[in-house]
Amino acid sequence: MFLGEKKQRFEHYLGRLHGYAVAMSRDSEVAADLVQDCVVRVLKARKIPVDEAAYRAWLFTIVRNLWRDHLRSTKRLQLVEPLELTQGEIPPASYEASIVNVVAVRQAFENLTDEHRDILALVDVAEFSYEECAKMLDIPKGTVMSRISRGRAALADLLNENNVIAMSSASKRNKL
Amino acid sequence: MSKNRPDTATINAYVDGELETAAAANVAQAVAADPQLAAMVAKLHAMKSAVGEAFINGEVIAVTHHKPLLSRTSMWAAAACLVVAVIGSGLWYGVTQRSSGDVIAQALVEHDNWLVKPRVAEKNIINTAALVTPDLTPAGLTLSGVQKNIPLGDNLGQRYAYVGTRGCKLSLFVSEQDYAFEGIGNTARPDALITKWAVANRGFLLVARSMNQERFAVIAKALEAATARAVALDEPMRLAMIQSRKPCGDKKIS
Repeated sequence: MFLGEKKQRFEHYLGRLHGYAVAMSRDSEVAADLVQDCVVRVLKARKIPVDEAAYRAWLFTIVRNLWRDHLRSTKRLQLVEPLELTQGEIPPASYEASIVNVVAVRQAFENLTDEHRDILALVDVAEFSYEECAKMLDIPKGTVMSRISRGRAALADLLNENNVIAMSSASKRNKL
Repeated sequence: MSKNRPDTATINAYVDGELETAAAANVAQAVAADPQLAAMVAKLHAMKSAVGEAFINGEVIAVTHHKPLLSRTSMWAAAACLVVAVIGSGLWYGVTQRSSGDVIAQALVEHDNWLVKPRVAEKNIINTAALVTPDLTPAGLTLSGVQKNIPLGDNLGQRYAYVGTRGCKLSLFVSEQDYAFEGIGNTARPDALITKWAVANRGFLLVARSMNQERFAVIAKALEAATARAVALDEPMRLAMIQSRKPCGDKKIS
């Protein structure tokens, strides 16, 4: 594949790759470096997946591996997940107590554990299926399911902790 | 809690569209019968889309070492002048000359094509790795892509297409000729919000329909400052953008 073709194909995923890198790293400069390094690897690669789904997974895996290398080099890799919640432990009310907006979510997302950020970035930002995530992370699909569940519960908790006001309450107050 | 209530992991899988038809139907039935569960599903949907929105296209960055879109020179003076022009006077630039009218007309056609036929127009919009583009995330707008080789008068330019979550669309046209938008005067236009500026041999034209004028002014100010300085927005500017958020009205042009 020619250089121009490689670049053109890569550019299609640039926005989402960068979003994924920001979500993972919480740092736009680090994210830019990760994507830049990914470009270098793509341009140097001799074998590139032909299938588009495989190509997409390959790109995100590169960025993810680069991020993990970065964490290792800065000794920030969090191997133990501190927040362990069993399924169904989070009452539905906790989801209702917050306005979900981009600013609040972004702040809350930054405070998630690496594992929760990892899975939610793959599913909600990069838009991979559970099956694709399972392959990329080399874990069973059921684990993907439970991680997503715990990740979103943690995110809901963080949104509540940030004292985000309930939409219904805010609306009522505005009417007074 | 209902005995038949699906577990949290299954509800999340339902929100992610990961369940088989039969399992999804079971969850849908449970949701229909349980307002609390319905609220939870709605909130999960909202969280999912907010996470996606929070990180996609919010900041488009250079991944190559090509020259940045904007020079770092002549930034503060230009920004200050433009801020005064946009905010101080509150004027929207219209058409005063035939040649500039052509440019405005072309820009509006490109912008309107995007409004009317977004799918068709967006086929030609690509993400680019070689440019630094301003981040308008605080204003609720994300960069959906860049359209190259747009005719602007006698020249070709680029269009940066920004989209919001509540029907807002904004086009930033960039010409490599700083005189490209020179003829555009100060006549108000009732059907569009348009402003222009020039920085370091480049001309910029910002176009929106049905956007709140105050919001447009704040965005224009932020873009002018960002293009002049080629740096991230400062905190007061980000706050002003957040506070100026308002939904856009009917996209139809009067």
